[in-house]
Amino acid sequence: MIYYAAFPAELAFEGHERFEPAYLRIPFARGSIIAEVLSPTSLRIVSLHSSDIQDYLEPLLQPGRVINLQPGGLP
Amino acid sequence: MTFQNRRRRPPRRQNSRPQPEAPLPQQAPAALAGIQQLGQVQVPQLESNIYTLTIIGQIEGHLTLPPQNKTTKYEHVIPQLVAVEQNPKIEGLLVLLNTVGGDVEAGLAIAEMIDTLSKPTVTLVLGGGHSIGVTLAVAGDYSLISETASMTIHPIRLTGLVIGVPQTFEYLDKMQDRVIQFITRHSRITEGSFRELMFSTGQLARDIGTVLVGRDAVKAGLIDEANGLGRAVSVLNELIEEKRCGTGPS
Repeated sequence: MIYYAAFPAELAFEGHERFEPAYLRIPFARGSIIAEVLSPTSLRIVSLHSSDIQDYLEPLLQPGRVINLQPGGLP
Repeated sequence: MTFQNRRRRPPRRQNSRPQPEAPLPQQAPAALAGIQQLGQVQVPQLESNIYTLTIIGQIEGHLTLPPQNKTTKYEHVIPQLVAVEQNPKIEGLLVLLNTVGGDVEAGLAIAEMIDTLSKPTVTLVLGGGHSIGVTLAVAGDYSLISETASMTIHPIRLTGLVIGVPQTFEYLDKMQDRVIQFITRHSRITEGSFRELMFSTGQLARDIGTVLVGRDAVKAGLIDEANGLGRAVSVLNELIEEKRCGTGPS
């Protein structure tokens, strides 16, 4: 990867060695959602893999969106 | 400096909010019930023929950046652009940029996608469109920059482990050429002028290069116009109309 930014690379990549997010793959009819586990009751969408290209325009599936789970959370 | 194109806003009314005794619209009872019973507000669903793509923060490519970064992910933006191309309800694309730059290949890939979209595209730089963000700013059919936004043009370099062999330099030079070729093909700036801005000394404290603010970017030939959101939407609507009439960008 060639990093070309007006931002110090050492700041952008700070903590990269310790960055070990817990990801969860959530399957659905047309593909899957990769989400980062933030807490036992919340997830953040990281990326979407769908066979229907229009899913990528769906606001509810945009990366960065936080999903709050029902009480009880993840098993 | 003249402000002849400055928009004149209508004077704000003193009592712009409806008075309590004012009659409520027909949909109001259902909306009020939602607020009272569920604490929910119904957002009006407006159909628009313009899709707005925001490119904010770092442009994230092959490597996931640590959480202190705000990123735009290329694996999501690229399919979004395919969806925009295929969706018959979308007639134009407005790209809002506020990016410090990021992965060269991801940035170039997104820029090429925007460039080759068959629908009219307008880009608007807000805040900043730096480094690889410059390729995105010039990729549309028409580009705008807000008066206070800036664009930093500087050379590409390697960070971290650098293997000091001539091939490394040649590789970087090739990467830089890809960026320069794209920018000069999609704007009015010449290759010579762009390289001059890129290797200018005395402007940046930590680096060589140039910072262009608002109108400077227009004067340099990178951007078409210094203006804001209203003008961007207006230009996009004009381009959509031209395309409907068969005279617009293909």
